Amino acid sequence: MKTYDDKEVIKKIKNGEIDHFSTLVKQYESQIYQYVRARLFQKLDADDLVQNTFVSFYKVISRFDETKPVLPYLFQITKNELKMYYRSHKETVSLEDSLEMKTEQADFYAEDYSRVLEKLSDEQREILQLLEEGYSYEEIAQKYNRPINTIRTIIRRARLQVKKLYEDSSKTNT
Amino acid sequence: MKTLQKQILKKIYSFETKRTILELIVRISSIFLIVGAGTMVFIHILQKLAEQQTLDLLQLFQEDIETIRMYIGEIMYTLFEELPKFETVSVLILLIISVTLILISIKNFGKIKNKILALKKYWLKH
Repeated sequence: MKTYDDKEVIKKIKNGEIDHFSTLVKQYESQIYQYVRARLFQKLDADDLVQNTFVSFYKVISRFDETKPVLPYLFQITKNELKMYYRSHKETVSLEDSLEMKTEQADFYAEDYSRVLEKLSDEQREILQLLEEGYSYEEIAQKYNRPINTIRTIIRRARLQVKKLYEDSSKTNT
Repeated sequence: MKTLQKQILKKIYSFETKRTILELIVRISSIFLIVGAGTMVFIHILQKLAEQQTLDLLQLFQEDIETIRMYIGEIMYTLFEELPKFETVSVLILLIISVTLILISIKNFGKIKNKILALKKYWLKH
């Protein structure tokens, strides 16, 4: 077969001589394939994606401006196909499952937190509980008849201890 | 040729075969339908004119040139007045559509012929 440049090939395809499309496939298939293969591990998926890219290009070839280069256009289609591929293969969780998981997580943390609190001193535990109930530092200081800075220190130490205990428990769980 | 290239071309040719067949069916059947509908409405108009004996007016054309020249305007006016308007407009619209469709088909004939030849060549080979 006589060799034509891309412009002539596209003109011929537009004129119904679709056998010339094989020229474009032969010319660009390996470049597109390499690009896709670098992004997809599955060979079959990569093959499908390359096929879809060329079919998509063929579908719009009647509207394609032959004065423009083919390869960037093919790459653009490939990128769109890849986006669609990633979107369709993204792991999804239904809303119901997600809510269930969140409730389970919340239950787990609540359980864990109460266990951690037990390991604190009585004073630390009580102060943290008052804080959760909405008492201010000043109110707690008045209640315990202590300076506010002392209460601040107790709270800071209690929080550090809670954090440490959480980390220890998560390490033992894993 | 590599397997992937073959697969791509097979997909392209399958897609094009389906599209061309569908296009041909739609094009041919729409031309037939419109021309058929136009013919039926035209026959209906003729029947109506025959019932009204309007067609008798055309006997004028059996007369000599002088008589035809004298009465042609009047006869044409009467004929136009007695034509069923809705049906006549319908026939004209259908005629315009069918002529447009035929002209488009004639214009695209080369392209469709090339496509069919390429498809035939491919499917005979594979």
